[in-house]
Amino acid sequence: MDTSTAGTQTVSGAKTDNQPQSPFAQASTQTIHGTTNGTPQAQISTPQTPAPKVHNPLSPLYSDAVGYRGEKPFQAIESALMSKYISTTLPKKHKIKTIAYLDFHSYSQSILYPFAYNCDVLPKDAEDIAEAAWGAAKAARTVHGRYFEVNSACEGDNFVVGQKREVPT
Amino acid sequence: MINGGAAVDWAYAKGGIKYSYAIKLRDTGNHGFLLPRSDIVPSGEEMAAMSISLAEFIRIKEIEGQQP
Repeated sequence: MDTSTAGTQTVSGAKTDNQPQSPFAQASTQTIHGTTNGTPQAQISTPQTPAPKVHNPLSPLYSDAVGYRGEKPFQAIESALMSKYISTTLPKKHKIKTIAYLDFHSYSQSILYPFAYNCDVLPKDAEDIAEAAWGAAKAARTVHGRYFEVNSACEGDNFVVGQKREVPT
Repeated sequence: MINGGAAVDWAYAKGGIKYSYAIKLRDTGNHGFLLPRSDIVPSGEEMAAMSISLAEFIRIKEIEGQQP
């Protein structure tokens, strides 16, 4: 099981761009623990109670470390209805074949393609998917200059379709 | 970061949606989740350009059958 490397990001309460005092200004003394590689877990913890470093999903402390994940897949009504809409309502009732699915998240400035659960598995048409993603990343960078990287959703250090795969040492 | 149960995995494998992506917005850590108000419109402009580019690629490749 891959482990996230804990890094710390300190949110500065300093004013920038002459903005009015942000309501989040009091967060300036707190440290947000997160990963330096991939989606940060925005778990605000005080120095007295840091988030436990638990990597075993079977451990009872695992939920405290990564956040409560529920008890079964599609337990949340929103995800159950969304999956039903995509797999049943759209193709059968509206006769629509869905060709793209965009899942917008904060933050990292990247476009991620399947699969997230394992770095050794790639979609059958990974090259097509990655090619489309590279074009989209370029289009995004053209607007304001922000670089958007393209990566597998597993976000391993050595895995980008189209680039040399570095063997981890 | 490896995790199971991601929506992008499900959309591709179970939903049968070929072009499934998880798109991460601004920024890279300076503000993180607490993005300033001034980033809202630029972020939206980037995402609009990205979505249009994706749609164009898919249209040319899948519907017209050409090489984008």
